[in-house]
Amino acid sequence: MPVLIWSILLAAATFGAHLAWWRVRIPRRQTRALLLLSFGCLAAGLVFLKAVGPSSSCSVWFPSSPAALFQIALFHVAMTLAYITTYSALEVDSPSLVIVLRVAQAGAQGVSREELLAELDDDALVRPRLRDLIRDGMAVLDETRYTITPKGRRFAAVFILYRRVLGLGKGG
Amino acid sequence: MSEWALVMAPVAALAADVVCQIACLRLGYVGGLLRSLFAGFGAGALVVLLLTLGALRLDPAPAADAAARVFLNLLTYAALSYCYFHFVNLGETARRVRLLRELIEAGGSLTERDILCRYNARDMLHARLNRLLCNRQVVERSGRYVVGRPTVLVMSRAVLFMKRLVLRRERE
Repeated sequence: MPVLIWSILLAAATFGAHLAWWRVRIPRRQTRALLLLSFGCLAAGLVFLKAVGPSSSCSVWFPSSPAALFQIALFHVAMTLAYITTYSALEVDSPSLVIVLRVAQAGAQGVSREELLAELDDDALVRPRLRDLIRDGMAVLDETRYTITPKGRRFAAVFILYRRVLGLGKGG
Repeated sequence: MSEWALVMAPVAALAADVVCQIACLRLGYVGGLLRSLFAGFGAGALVVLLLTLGALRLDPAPAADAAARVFLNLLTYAALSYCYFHFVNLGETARRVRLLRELIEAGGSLTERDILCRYNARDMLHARLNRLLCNRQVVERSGRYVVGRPTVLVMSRAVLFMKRLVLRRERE
């Protein structure tokens, strides 16, 4: 039970610190900031448990065995990665989610393909992602041409390779 | 030893999830990517449950503690499996990955006009609408789209809620 309680407490404290930080100022590199915050909280929590656990009068409530601390860490890392993957949907509007929200807003009357296309054009769906590639150093814009960088190649290679393993096409 | 088996159960379950998902998709046991991901998740959930219960049988704990460890392992596995689902989904739907792929296939460089000939909002909207129609998240009535099954709509509203909570805005 203590392992579960400490795991949830640590995750909740990290989320609280994240909300507090974002209220003061949203960092420029949000994913990196989230990772730093989360692993900082995890390290602090593990050090606290390791230091307090064995010496406390109610040591049963402070797990400090390597396996228990590892289980807390594994849960924390899993939750952090899951949150960061979800966070990307907060930073950037997913076209599928926008389509469904737009369809829902239209109610029983519905929405046509043309109406969706008028709203979700290249300016809304493609050009912002091209700018992201430049911002993240995955492509460079030289006058009129976009050229992929080695970082962009490495990033894409992971997904291309995996889609090959799955026997799937281009996607997108 | 059994304590480490218990702690590592979610990692073993994730491996089972990945292997089962790839096998289901490659061997055509289930129809489509989404179903293969669900099948993989189910197989992993079974593995985490069996390994955790097996470890607890070798090293018995009080009922409340045992239930807490099972619950924590299931949560950890669910978070890891969610990350894997998102990784596969990124390869399927991420615009940046698709744009990088187009650049690689063109020899590393393209103008914006060339990029938009190969990948544009119209194609993207058609592909996504077709996916939503296939999964019955959206249904067509007399040429207009209305909400079908509510799964993606619930996800969209959850993302919107998180966006308001964390970023205090609704759109990108």
